[in-house]
Amino acid sequence: MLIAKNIVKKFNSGGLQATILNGLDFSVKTGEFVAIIGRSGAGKSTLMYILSLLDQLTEGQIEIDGVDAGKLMNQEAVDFRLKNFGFIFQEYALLPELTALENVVLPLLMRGEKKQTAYAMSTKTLEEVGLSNKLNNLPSQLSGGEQQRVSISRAVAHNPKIIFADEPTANLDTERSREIMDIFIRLNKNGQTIIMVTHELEYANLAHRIVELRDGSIIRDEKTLHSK
Amino acid sequence: MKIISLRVGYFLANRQIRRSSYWITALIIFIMMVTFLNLVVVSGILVGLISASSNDFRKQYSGDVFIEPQAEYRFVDNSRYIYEVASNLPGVAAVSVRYLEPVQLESDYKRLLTGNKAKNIAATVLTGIDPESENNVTGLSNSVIEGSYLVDKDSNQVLIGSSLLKQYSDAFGTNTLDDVYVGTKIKLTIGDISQEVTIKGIVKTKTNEISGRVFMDQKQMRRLIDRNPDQSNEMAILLRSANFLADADNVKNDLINSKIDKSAMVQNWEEAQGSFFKDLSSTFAILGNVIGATGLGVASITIFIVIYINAVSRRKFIGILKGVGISGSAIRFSYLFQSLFYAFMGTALGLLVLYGLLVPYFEQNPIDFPFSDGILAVSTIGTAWRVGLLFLTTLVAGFIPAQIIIRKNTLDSILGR
Repeated sequence: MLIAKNIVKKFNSGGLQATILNGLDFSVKTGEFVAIIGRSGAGKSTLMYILSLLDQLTEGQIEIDGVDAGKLMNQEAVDFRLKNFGFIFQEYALLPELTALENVVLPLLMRGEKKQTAYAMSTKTLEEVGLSNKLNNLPSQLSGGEQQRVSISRAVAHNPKIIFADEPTANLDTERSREIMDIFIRLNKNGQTIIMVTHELEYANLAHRIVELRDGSIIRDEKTLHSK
Repeated sequence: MKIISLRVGYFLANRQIRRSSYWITALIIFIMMVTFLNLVVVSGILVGLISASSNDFRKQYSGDVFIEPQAEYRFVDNSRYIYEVASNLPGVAAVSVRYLEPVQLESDYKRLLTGNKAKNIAATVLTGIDPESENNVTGLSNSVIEGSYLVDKDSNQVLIGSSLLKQYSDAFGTNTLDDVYVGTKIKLTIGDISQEVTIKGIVKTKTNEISGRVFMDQKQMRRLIDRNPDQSNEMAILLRSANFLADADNVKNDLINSKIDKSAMVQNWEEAQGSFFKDLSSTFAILGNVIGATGLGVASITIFIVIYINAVSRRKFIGILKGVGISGSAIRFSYLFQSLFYAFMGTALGLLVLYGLLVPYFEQNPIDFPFSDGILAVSTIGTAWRVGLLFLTTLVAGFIPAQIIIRKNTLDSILGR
């Protein structure tokens, strides 16, 4: 489904060029749950931003379901993300002036769904993550765990091919983190492809595969006990 | 895709406005309202000063159609025929024929002057009128502020314009009579003819052609100077309805087509005023527009700053919007809708204040200027133009900052880099 070849990412900083990703190869199959781990600065977030087309690669190729996605520019990349990806940010990234329901509805409207359909789909998704009684709450009226569940609902409501999750449990306590991971496992069991960046090995072990980065290179890529 | 972007843009704008601080929204709308009023009212008052002066000239002096001698003639010849023709034209309500002659006024002429005391004299135009006809056309009796108006049987009595009396026109130089009141006798000297007359009334208007003249019954005046009744100097014609210049032009053309004497120059009220009022009005309109444009500039900068600060402070969220697949045009539309909302609300409130408060207020309480009672001259077309201008400026001021932020790299926006 996703094949990344010879991914290189370099940054220019103060006239010096730093290599963040060092020609790595990486692939994900449909329905797979992959955890990317590594120390700070290992390049795991950069890899995810590149795979999700939020950032551009310096060299290499990203192919998603036969599309050379790495070469998509600006609005093409936005459209591709809208159709194929769901994104879960570390700090929830909900729009503060939209209710929980409206946050989920927004990308669906952008995809051209009718208003009624978009609201129905969003309500259903939020109900599935246990937020049926918080539909009309603003993000400021929700706890961290609830906000992250809204964020997950927004990511999955349009049934994307891949969900990218950037440290989804970083700001949550253990209990809330476990709830979020349970949702991921449930989604994955229903066939959802998930690529998750985390620094918590306990949660990484719940994925099928762990890919560990160090200094921009993959130093480990192995299946976990949950592997299919 | 554009329609979807519009829809999503509206969805976002609607929520952002509804859920943003009411105080900030109210402040922006207030600024827009003040800007709109600044655009309309400043130029409206400046133009209104001239409009009022022009209206006064028409109502108090020229009427809707005005006849005076052509440049190479001294009189409007065949005046009685012209009067008959004019009076019988459909739409004509009243006609006043005037006879003019330069005159010197003198008071205290029976006293011996002592020391360096100068003669108490003033020069002006003696105007012979039929009191009833003149009153029908210009309502001259309404301008009498002391004493009473002329009647047909009055003999050796005159109305004197307030500008010729020192007590009313201190600020305006030396051509005034001192110590002259209602009942004072003054001497009129026309060439080598002199006549003693009594001041019956004092007229005061802001039209100098009235407040700077002396009025006498036309029969007595013609006798005094031996003037043929067919040799008048002015005719003022009042129409029953003259809302538009075209109404006056119709009567003007009817008169010209009636083969009246070639000495008569027939003009509508605007032509009668010459280019002075028109030029002054244009100059004041330009001045008003310059002031209005400055206000518009300030408002557009305000909107720019408001939208820019809003967009910068929401840069991360704009990045997230793009990150979850919301198109740049949808985000742009959301800011444009917000700008439109501010412009619409500001303009709507401005129109309410303008037509509900300011226009009626200035009609009831005109601004007291030396040459006119200033009103607020607001035309529908002029207002519509200004509304359009305000909307356009607001749209541009809203679009630019949104565009600046949207063009930033999505990931940089999300990560705040």
